[in-house]
Amino acid sequence: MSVNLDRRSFLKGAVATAGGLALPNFVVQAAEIATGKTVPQYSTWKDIYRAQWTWDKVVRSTHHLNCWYQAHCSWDVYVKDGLVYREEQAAEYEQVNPELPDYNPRGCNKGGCFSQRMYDPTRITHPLRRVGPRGGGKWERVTWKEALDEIADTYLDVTVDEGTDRTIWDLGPGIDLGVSMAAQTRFSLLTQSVGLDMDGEIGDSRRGTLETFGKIVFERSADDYFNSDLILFWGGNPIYTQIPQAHFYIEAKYRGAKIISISPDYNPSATKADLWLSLKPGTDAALALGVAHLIIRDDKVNKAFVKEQTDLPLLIRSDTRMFLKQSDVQADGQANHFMLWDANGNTLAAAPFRSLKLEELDPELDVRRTVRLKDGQEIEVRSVFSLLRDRLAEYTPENASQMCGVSPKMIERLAKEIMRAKAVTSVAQTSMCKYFHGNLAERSVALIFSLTGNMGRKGAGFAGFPLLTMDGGDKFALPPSLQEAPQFFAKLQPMIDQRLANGDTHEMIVTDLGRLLYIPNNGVLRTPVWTSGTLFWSIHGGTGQLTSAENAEKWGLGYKRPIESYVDESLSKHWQPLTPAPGRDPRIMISMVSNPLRRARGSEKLLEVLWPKLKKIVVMDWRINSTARHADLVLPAAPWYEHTNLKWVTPLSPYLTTSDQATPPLGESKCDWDIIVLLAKHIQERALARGITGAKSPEGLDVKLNTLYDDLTMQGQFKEGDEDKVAKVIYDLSSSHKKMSWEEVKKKGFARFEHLPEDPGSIGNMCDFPEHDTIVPLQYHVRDKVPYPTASRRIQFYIDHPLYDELDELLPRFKAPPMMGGNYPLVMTGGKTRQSIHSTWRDSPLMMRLDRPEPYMLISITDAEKRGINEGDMVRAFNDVGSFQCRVKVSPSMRPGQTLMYHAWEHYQFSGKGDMNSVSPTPLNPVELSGGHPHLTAGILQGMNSVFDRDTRIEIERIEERKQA
Amino acid sequence: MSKRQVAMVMDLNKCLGCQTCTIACKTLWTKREGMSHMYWNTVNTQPGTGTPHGYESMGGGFKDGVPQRGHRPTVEEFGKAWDFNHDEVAFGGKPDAHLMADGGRAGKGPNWDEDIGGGEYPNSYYFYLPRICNHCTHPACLEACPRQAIEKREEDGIVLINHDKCRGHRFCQEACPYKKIYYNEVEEVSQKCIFCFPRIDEGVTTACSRQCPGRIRFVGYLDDQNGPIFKLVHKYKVALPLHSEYGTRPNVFYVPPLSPPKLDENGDATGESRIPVDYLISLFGPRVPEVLKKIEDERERVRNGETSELMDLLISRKWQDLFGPFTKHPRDAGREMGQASPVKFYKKGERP
Repeated sequence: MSVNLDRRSFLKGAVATAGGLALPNFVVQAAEIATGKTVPQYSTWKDIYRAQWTWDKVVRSTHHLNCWYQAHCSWDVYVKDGLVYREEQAAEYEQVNPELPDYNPRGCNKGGCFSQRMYDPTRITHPLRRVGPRGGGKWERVTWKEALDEIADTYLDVTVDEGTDRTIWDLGPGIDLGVSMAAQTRFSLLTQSVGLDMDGEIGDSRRGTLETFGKIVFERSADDYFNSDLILFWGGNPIYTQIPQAHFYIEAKYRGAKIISISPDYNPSATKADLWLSLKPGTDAALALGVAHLIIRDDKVNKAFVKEQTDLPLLIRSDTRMFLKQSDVQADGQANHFMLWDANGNTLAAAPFRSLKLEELDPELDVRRTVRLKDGQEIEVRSVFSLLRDRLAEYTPENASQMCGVSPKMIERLAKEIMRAKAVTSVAQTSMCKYFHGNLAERSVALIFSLTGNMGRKGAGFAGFPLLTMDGGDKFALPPSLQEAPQFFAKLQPMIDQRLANGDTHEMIVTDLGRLLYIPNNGVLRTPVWTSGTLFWSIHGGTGQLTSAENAEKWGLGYKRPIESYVDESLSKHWQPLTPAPGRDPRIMISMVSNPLRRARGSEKLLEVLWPKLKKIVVMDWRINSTARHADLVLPAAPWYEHTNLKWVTPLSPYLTTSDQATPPLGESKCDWDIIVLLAKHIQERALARGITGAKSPEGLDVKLNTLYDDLTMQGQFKEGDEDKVAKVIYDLSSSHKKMSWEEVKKKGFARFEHLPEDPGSIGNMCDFPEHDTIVPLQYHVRDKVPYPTASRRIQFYIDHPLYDELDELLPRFKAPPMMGGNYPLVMTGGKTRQSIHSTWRDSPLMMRLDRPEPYMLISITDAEKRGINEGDMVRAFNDVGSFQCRVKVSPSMRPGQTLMYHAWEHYQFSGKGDMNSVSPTPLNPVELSGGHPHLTAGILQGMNSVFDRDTRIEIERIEERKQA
Repeated sequence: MSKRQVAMVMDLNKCLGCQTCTIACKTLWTKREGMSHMYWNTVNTQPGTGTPHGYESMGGGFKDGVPQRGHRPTVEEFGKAWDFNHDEVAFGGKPDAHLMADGGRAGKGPNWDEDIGGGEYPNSYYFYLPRICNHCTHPACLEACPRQAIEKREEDGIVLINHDKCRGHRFCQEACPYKKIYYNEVEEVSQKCIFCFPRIDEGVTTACSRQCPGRIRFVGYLDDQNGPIFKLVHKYKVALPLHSEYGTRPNVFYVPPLSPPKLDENGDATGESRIPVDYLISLFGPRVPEVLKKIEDERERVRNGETSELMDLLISRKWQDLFGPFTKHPRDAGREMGQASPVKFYKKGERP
């Protein structure tokens, strides 16, 4: 390349521009206006680099998005010339104790370049309104007033004419359960507009864990893996998806632990293992039950543990196939007391209720007897253990091998390693629950851990879902004002006292409080309205149409009756929540830093079915994503470095992480709190101007529209611009942190949790949060004998619900994966990508350059050869419900018959029609429609329908290169 | 030879392949014009082509002390930094527009064969190999430069290309057998890893090492007998140079990777590790088997309750222990604008 300018002038210029990549014009102008341009002097070439190592200020911050397992790393944000220039991990986590590796530095490749991402070409800095048809890609700039008035007027029309339940908040993975969420919570509380619970809808339901433990939230601190002797990478790929804490696993190896990886493909985590077992996708239950078979065969059951902590000694009636209750056998017996056979007294006895402590009881494990009911009838009862042992007899190593494809010897080897180890853990994962029968897999793996007593101890335990959140958010957001908060919550006290007196635990009560959100006008407390995201997309969004009765039959979903019948039963019995009710079409959707068109499986249906119903589609985001492309209005939300905030984390890294504002929101961007507060302001103004006072929710609650802003801001106490003030109040109200003030935390950037938060999203951890030791979930159950929040108050393997009976899932078992999408030869598996957190970095040039620039599918060499497909070819993937185009990456590590597509490619990254969701019909699993049961009931992030894409079947064919543009 | 040599050990058992090091380097050093294709730090899946693609057969270095001819890698071989049409897609008024790299004509990027590796299912194998400039004791680039623009710093052995002297002849690119030198077509100079000298000069470890979430990188002086580098390289001899046959005496060393056992035709585990030892020997030399055995033996000892200084070193319970004398926090080390900096900054209008 010949350059006409003097080379030296480029070097000199380099000093001046030692700031950024080529930044968009508006960014550069903003910087110049903000600071006045600084021009450094050139004396030697080294000055170029020294100038790149200078800055104006350093601010503690983080990325408030759903990195989930890998969430929350404290970063220093380096600011220069009024712009974020780069970031580097703060890396000041104190060593927990000298025996443990510390948490430093955390962070990952994505976090390390958000400074570039926030200024890339997709950043938006002022409100945009669609010009022309939806999805046409043409925009005009509008003022905030124009945008908010337009939304406010539509909102008032819809709310007054059609109802308060017609406005939907799409709460995607961008929500923070901090300041942003506080605004949405207050808005929904006051207006009874509806938030979608996205946990099942993103495939993170952890259904089998809920069935077994009565909750999904419990996980250890990542440094506790250092205490393990055997770590099972089962269902997860933590080397790839838990970058900030993956070092603990490898360090555990150097401390003598073994790692066994169980996955269809030889994935990045398998490369770190001492042993890798390759199984057929979706057959984990068979492998797990094979191992359980061997534990019983070899008499390695930890009897003391299972007698005290599980339902294995509890008795099942052979006539009803339900648990035998005290009320079945005694005139004054309790219906929630379960029965066992006491070997000491050789008699029927009620299982301990208020505590798991057995005291004088010695429950018999293997029971098959006749007992007399209170009406004199004699029936046969069997213990869960007895039934389970019969069930497990089917899972000999040879039989299990047939089902899962792992050799009998390797199943024996896995079982032996598990039985030999003093402390076994599995890793947090939400992969199994993305398989249609993933609940059975989770139950089966949990069985291994229970049979061997590997629960609730240091370095030992089945991993639940990792969530930890402060409990100040709801304390701030729910009461009418802070002054009225004591009276507001005091209303609950008599109910709490009564339940405690009746023997319920704090955990059960807090969990039930979370369930109130799913029952509009619940009669206990005015709450925001949340509903099942999956049912919303399925019924209002039309994704349910992909699974016709004919398809359900053909794909082998095992429905015993039409799915509509299950859905009707569930909704009519109020087993599952769906607001608005079927037939009441949604009219406004506000997508809050979310991206449902990218995310929802079968999302093309949303455009076809849901979009025409919507009068206004509003996207709050800092960039144009797949959903924003099809929106009516896009509101520029400020990205994280332009915020002051705090957010939920995970026990894996038990530190609250905060962000202090590094630079002001660019252009006209505003933080989420301000956007929602201002929307309320405009609604109030327009209501006043139009003479509208209020509306009534379908359930009869009053919604005041002409005072919405006043009520939301607590009469002006917390209004626009008060983000920091709200963060401080949430922090101050939280019971988990007392040692530092908000100002101190903001400066430091992180604060270790000191106590278990009394919040529905956290309490499931049920453990201490010691300052100088690791965090061991379920300690309160295992060490302190506090009952579990299940129907039986124990780890429960027998699920006593009619739907489970109907679908033969009373006990853990293996069901062959269905052929979702049709009888096609390839299984399309997936996983989170290394290069992005969901779609947030998926089209970042920096990340794509270190990956591939287009969506691609990993396929095996065998499958490529069979189809005449070469590495890098463009293929069409298709099945009964749709098709899309992508490239292939041919890898020897893929299991023949398996394909793998890491997730979160945006719609607009696919050439031609369709995207990776187009082949995912994600049918409903009827057992997830259950309810009316002590623990199979919808609650915060649990107990609702999930999506399943992992057993999607496809075929692929090579296609001619598309014509080059 | 410099008086002292700063060096790096990378433990490949700990490497996650996450590219945080690559990004740390990119966002700090190589975002000026003409640098978009540069990755002074790369991480590649092995076996694989590496960066630049096929670098191991591009020549350079020394054979029996004699400089070898080498190929000058092209931008395409390094992997061009693709340009994308985000603007068209987001704002262009074209509903059917999709995102394309270089108008749909993208070549192979620098990490193109990520996670592919070698072997055949179920005995496929791979591992990650991060690379920076080796800051060699016998740098081929330095000898090849006709302008003596390349210096090896006396105090710590860091090899630097003097951009003021460099005239862009690029003999260094040909001579470097590791092909870790790039050419900036805008500034018309050759550029490469500077071992973060502005950081090192102030006692702060390199960005790639400090930002590594896998905690794989040890940094320090090779002759510091109490430091981790000396212990890993000389005392326990578990850290080996890459392609020592290239004759440049690199100062970056690697702890070679363990791997799970191969499976036999029944799918049962054998006693043989799945990464072929011969392949590892071809990279890290004949001592590989000995090193792998040493690590496994020490793991077994620790498993049986004994202590092992080597395992403790590789764990490094205190993260700061990885960095020898370079433990200062960057926030405290960097000079704020206008303070104590040899670079004078002027506000707009103040410039003399």
